[in-house]
Amino acid sequence: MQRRQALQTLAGAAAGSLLPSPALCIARKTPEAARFDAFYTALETRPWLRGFVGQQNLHSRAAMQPLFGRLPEELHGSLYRNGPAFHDLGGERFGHWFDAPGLVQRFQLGQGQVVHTARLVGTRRNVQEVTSDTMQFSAFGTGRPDLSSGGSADGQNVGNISLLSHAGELLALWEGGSPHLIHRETLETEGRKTWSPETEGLPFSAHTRLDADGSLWSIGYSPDPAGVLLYHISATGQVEKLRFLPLEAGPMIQDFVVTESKILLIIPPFTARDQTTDAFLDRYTWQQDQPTRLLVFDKNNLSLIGETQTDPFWVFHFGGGYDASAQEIVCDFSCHSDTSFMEVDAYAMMEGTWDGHVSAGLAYLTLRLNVATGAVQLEKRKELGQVEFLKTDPRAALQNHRHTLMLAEREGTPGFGRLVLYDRVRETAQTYDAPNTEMMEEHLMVPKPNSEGFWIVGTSQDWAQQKTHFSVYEGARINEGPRFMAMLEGLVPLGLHGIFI
Amino acid sequence: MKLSHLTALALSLCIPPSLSAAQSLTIEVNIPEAEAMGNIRAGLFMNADSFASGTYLMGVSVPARAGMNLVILPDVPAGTYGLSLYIDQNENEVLDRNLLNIPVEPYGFSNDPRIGMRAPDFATFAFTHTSKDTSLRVTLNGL
Repeated sequence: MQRRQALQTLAGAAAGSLLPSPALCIARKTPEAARFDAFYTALETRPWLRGFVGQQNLHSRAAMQPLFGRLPEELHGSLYRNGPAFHDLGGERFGHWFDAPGLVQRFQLGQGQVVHTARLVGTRRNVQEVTSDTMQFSAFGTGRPDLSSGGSADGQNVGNISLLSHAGELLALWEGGSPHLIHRETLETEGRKTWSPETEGLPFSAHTRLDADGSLWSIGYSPDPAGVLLYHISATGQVEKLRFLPLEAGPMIQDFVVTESKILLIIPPFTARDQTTDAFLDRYTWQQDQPTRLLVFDKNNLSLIGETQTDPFWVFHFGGGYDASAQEIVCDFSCHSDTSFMEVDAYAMMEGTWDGHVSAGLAYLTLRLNVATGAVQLEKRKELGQVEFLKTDPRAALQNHRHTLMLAEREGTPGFGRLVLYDRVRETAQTYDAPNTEMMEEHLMVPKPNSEGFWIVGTSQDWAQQKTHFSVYEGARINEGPRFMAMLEGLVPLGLHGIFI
Repeated sequence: MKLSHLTALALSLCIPPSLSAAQSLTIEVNIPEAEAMGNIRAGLFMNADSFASGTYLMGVSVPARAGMNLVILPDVPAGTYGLSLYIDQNENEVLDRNLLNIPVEPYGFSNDPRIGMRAPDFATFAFTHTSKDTSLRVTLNGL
């Protein structure tokens, strides 16, 4: 059902009670309404922002049109993706790219075809706001005195960042509160996921790590009380270990590293100073004069076994991490010079002022940490450019992974327009450049059965033609471009993270 | 001080709470079907200190039903109070919280104050109960 149809139904049922009062009709425009106007005016001259137009359909399903090539016969499964989508509600527009109610998408492969399905992530807040087409709650980057805080973290839960498949369940992840159960076929939301009474409603990362035994590691950061949660959940979904580590100031930690023996948390100097703001992000301040802290934990008992620090940097996403020796941890990630992507660009995307480039300096970086001495070595690969959305082969989790896949910016084209596969052994990179009017979204490495090889799957958007593409690459030869591509008419709002299962 | 403030002060001095008539306090709370289990437990607090210590003047526990529930406190003396309630879904007579002390059962306050990471200040949910019957509607948080 289209949202507007749902609204008409609601309006009919309410017998006119939803009509605004005369006082409301002459009320001054909210910042969110002014932003709505500004964005759609800017769209006329900045068409590459079309990927940030708000989603309208609550649910859709369509077969994608094959453009060229053939799907590999051995490639079975579905790409599921999540991301903020319902940016506009009732003529108001959220202020930050990470704010809006989530949309889960499925690109289902079968019989040479790709079928696309999409549905609103049905958190309680999302259903209430989207079906009434009114902004009612504060969000990550949007706050106003008349918007409700929701009364708890889950009261604001938009479930819009990523997905996890674990213990037979598909979960839509946010990071401030509970995961939500998603039906694999219909994409309907089947309620909140709670592993145990003491974990109910706790912050739970959108970036989890699977261990070799099928168990799951996760974190959660809390501004107040200030600290970080560490979770270990068994392969069957039981809470094995849970620890809350208090910190002096509320941290923000998006992703983390798990090796065979240790956990590494990297805590940038972006901490919660003010607990009273309406918008969550406004609590946090980047402190350029403070270090980035590295905390190392023993996986067996979650005890803190090492701590050191480096010059300040910000990190959203790691590739992988492993024990190079009993005392040395190695990991790779996209290193941000600061938080300006989150604090400047992600607002500009919603306002219509984004120029298509990440403000922060980004670099592919390998970090080596000696846990015994606290020595940290950082090795940047600046020649790979402004890179993000790092992924590795799931078979190489916790291991010295050979390849890291990532997206890179290209000069002269907005967004991420280049796919980069970095060979960590040969220290060489293969690249593929999309057409100038395409923005690429996160791509994934999908293992080939009975082989060390892999495919790469992912989505991109042609903002000029307003088409969404699903592509498959031969992993070892991405420079040859996609070997298969299917197309969907129209643009689904640019999303964040996905899984292939 | 403005005249209106003086008048209000005079009135409050003339009619001390202890001498005023006691009338009923009715609380309306709407409970979604999925949350309607256990009991509504409501407490009436006289000031910030009594709220902080959990010492209520009057308390009531009634079964939680789906839809609009009316919880009635009879014979409440006129005065200033703050009301908090929660749905004790597992009937253990406490508001259950998670590891970070965040309530995991639905709860609410008179005046529906904005809820942040901590319990609201008493002043934000204080209300005046006069010598007439009072009716309050409380919206549940943490659903």
